Amino acid sequence: MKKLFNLKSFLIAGLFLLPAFVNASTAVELEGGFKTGPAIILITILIAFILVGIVFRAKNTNDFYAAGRSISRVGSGMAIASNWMSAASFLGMAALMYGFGYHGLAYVVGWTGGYVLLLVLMAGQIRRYGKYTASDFIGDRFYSRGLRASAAVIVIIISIAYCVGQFGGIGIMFKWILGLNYELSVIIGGSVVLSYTLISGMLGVTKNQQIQYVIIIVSFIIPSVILCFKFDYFWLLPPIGYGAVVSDIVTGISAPIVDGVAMANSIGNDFAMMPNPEFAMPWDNATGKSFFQWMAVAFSLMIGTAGLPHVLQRFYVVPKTSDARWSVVWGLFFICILYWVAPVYSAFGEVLSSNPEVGKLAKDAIVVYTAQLGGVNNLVVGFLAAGGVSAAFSTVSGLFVSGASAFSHDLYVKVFNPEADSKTQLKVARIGTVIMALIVTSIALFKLALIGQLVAVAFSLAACTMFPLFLLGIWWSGSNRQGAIAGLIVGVVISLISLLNSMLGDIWIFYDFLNYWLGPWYFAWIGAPMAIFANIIVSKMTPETPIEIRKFLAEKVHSSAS
Amino acid sequence: MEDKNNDYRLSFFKPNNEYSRSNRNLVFTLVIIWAMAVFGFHILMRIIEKPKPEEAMIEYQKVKTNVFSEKSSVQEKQKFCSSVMSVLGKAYLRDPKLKKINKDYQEVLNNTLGWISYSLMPKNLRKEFENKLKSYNSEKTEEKISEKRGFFSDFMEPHWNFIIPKDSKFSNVKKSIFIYQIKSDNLFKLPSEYQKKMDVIMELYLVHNQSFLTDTKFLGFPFHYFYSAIFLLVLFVFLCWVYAYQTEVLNKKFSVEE
Repeated sequence: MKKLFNLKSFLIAGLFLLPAFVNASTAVELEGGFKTGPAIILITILIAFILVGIVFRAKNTNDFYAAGRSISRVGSGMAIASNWMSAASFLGMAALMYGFGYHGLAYVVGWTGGYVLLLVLMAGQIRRYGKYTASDFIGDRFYSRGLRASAAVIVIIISIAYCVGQFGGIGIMFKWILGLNYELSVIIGGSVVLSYTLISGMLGVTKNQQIQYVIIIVSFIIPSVILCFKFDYFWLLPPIGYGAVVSDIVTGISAPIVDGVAMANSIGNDFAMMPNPEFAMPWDNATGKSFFQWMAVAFSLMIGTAGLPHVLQRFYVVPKTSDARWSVVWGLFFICILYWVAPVYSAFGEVLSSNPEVGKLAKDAIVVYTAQLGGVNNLVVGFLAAGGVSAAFSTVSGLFVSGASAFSHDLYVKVFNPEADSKTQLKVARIGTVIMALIVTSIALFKLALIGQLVAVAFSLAACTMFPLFLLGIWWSGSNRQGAIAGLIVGVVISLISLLNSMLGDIWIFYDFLNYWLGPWYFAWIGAPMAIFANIIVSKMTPETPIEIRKFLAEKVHSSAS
Repeated sequence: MEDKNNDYRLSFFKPNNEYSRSNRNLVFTLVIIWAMAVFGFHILMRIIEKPKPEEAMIEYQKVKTNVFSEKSSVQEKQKFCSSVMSVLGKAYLRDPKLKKINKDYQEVLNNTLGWISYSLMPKNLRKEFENKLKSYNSEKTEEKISEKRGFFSDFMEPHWNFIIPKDSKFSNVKKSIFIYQIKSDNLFKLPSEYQKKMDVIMELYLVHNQSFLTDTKFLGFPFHYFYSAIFLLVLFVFLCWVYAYQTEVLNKKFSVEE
């Protein structure tokens, strides 16, 4: 086994991490019943979330939608990261790499690289435009109530698609901790996150998201350090230390012995495996994924990131345009900390579960199983699982606010009842949140795909519908209402083709062809460019954007004198 | 914006003042770097990669003709057996979500392992080997399978050297794979369609896309893996930082107040 440094002799580290190795060599049950320690940790964290939500709860609609624009750059960056680091990042990322090897890295690259686009093309300009929600921007920029309503519906659909994956993650972790079945776990977890969002709104959410970030990142890093330390890899920096694990997986590991002790997983199997180059080699045939799919996934997730309503909405809550920019820089940095660590779990998971005796493990819970198989102390694993729940909670609460805003502000107030007072608006927002939660729970019970893949659907949807509208709306005054409608129709049609094909399955002859070229996780690779193209063509053929919109764009959004 | 024509037409590609032009150039430069770093690198990797067989594949190709025509030596059979176990040790083969690729491959491999190991056992042990294996394979419940698997494992304990030579690499893992994967449907003769399928299976699982970018090590990683998992993320943060910083510089230069 190759390693960068042998630091195991460091006494201080040994003392610090000693509790983590208790029970390291005893047998563990990977699923099992109710786990008291982890359950106490989870319940404590959830109570803390609700208390923080109550203390910082929304007092009016301005608070509910945009946190009173009182959040600092670093704070907003942490909230962006927490909002972003969902069950898909915390649990799903490692699952994808564990399941599909190098192909999983397309998700890592896609979900981080999109922030570059988001920053250079959107963040500052959106803040300058000065609206509350994504639908607000679209309705205003394209001077159309119909587009505003359509955008609101799309925002709700995207939020639901995104939430389904999160509820799946919540269900898996509640199942592991409480020893309940998956269905009941989804219902309990969903009820808790719903109650919390209803109590707090975005002000509470934003404060909570900062706390959640700390919990998520600490709970994620500690077991990775322990795993590297225990199996004699460079543990001071796990994102570097696991590189040797990846290389070992490629060449195979012949049951190593360190200091006279055979290294084994917690159920007594050798820390050994046959060569598995397919884990690291690009688009390996054995993983069933191709070069095209790698590129399509990465591209779709990137532009999806720059079009996700709940992420874009985050930029309305910073006080200044420069804060919007710096909050993205901080947000991305905080996100990357988690994304650098996620592959550690997939690599160790690959080794520790390689013995056929371990059996088939649910990919979406591989982060927790890896820590268990690695003999990490049960309480630390419990903390890790609670971190997974926090990740899902922080994202779901943000999505609920985004969906509720679309329901109340963009649909109810702007389309149906412009006279509604702020109390009624808040009430409608809360009703919208409850409806969304019910829909999401019902869909999540079906366990349709891996968490990461379910979330990727939301990204492709956002990329095909919202991204073209924002991109052209901000950067080209020539994009008009007719163009926007045409682009939106094209984006929606391509999304529907992909999703319907996926639902129909191989009962019709084009399934395999469409499933490959318009896969539900990456149909935006063609959908978004075609929507942009349609928008441009139709805009060129129809009457120009009104001068007051062009003037506003030039003077308020892109001007040196704004 | 001090619009030259005062018609307020705005386009990314045709900025109409110095501030917009500078901002456009900054955005354009960063997006080009971003695209080249992500997609350029992977296109390069695709262009230069070559299919590279694993050691197990090379061994398999050397001995397969003799083994299938049943003219092979014990060593050749052991090498063949080891190659089969190399594939059976792969996680992706066991993944039920990859059924489309795996199809009945697992079945072919399991029975090929049974056939070759039966022929490796000394004649006086074959009957017992067959009985133990068939009894273990015929069980339906997980509990019973586990119990019978234990008996089969006990039986194999003194006889491993017939199947896996003592100096074999990964011998402990191979024993575990053997016990868990072996099947007894074709112990005496391997069907001809299985022989044909074996070539396809071995090619699928034992040949990989490699190049100097995947074979070079950097900080312990295969270089390409480090590049995507670590470096690209660092680059993304750096690009964002450059944009935020440079925008402030531009704002100062053009006296923009936000």
